[in-house]
Amino acid sequence: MEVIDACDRLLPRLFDVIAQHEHAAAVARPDWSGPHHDEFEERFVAVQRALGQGCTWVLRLRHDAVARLEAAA
Amino acid sequence: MSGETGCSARPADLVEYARETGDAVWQLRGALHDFDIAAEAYELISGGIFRLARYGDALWDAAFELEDMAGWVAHVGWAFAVAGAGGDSTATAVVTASAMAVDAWLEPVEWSPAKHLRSGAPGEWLRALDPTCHGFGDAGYSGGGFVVGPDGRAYPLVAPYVTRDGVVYQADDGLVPGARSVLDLDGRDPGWTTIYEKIGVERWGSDAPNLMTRLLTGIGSTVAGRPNGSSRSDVEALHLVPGMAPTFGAVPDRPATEPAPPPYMQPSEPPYSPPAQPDTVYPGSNSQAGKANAVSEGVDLAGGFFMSDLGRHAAYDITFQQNATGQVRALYKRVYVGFDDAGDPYADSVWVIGPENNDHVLINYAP
Repeated sequence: MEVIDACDRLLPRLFDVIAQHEHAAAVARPDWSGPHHDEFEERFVAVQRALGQGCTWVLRLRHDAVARLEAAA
Repeated sequence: MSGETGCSARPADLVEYARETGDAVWQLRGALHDFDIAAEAYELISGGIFRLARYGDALWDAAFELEDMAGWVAHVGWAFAVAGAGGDSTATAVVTASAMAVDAWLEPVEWSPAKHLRSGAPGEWLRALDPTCHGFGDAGYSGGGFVVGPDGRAYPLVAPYVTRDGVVYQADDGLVPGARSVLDLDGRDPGWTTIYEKIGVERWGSDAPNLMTRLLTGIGSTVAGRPNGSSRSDVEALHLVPGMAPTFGAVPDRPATEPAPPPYMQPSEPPYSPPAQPDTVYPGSNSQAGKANAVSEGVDLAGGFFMSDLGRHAAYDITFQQNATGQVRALYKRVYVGFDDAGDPYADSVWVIGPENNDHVLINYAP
């Protein structure tokens, strides 16, 4: 089923983005202090959480698609 | 975000964050686009059990937020660089500045000149300029008001003019090196350098006209035609180049909201009869014609009501300058788009010299 392949392609990409963003933030953080940094950290946590929830949703979607495929077989 | 709180950062590191995150976003958007095609097909099979649109949109929202963060952090890095590293955003050293100083450089993105105009106290404008330079008979400056710049300083607004062969000009339309310039009064007031310039589109007047303002504008449109000003799409077709007259990048369409003038309007009875003609009868006074006029005014009123917002946009180019003696000034050019009887667009340029709607000096560009 096409959607399973699509999930398999998207999931590693999402993990990559989360890791890339973590790495980029690690570059920015040293010696960055003040209210702009605080705002950045708040936004960083929120967007990483959203990406993580996206991974969970893609996994659930894949699980559902596999179950439907098996049921149809 | 503001205050005297101290803050620090390495500008180059923030810019590097933006670059890495921008790359990640680019890849994520491509992956989401491919995924959407398969997911939408699956939604038809599953009957929408996973509410694909809702969760898929959340992933797209995350991508957009990442993109926005990248842009914002790059902007913060640049602001740190300007506030404490001479504008070098590749600076790898730690820059320490007050949060207020950094915010002052972040603000210009949102800063709009129309919202920062004020009138001058008596004599204030003249004192702000060198009194010997504001008038030479055939050249000088008009003005009176001020604009508070992104840096919080008040700059006197000036409208320069020179007279050449009996013709008064208010701005240059392109200059070749060494040519005389209207902006320095043909060499009478030289030495001005630009410290900041911003070009954009803005809505002038209050932020959003309230019901009464819209209603009054609608009433005004019944006697004065289409309100002065231009819509955003009109002015976005303009191409503004510093030191030149505006040109159209693309010919804007005639506004669909502009009502066509009626072929004939029956005059209504004025509130006072003409002198010595007390018995004049006006066709608009009978009930049938009065009804027709009421419909006509209703259409115009509705047009003015909605256009009171649509017709309040202008392109602008504002330049903040300073000379060797430390004096400052601002040249605030606003450009409106109008349409002639044939429906062809034309641009009117003015220097804005104060906060009132008539604080304008129409610009005649020197060839």
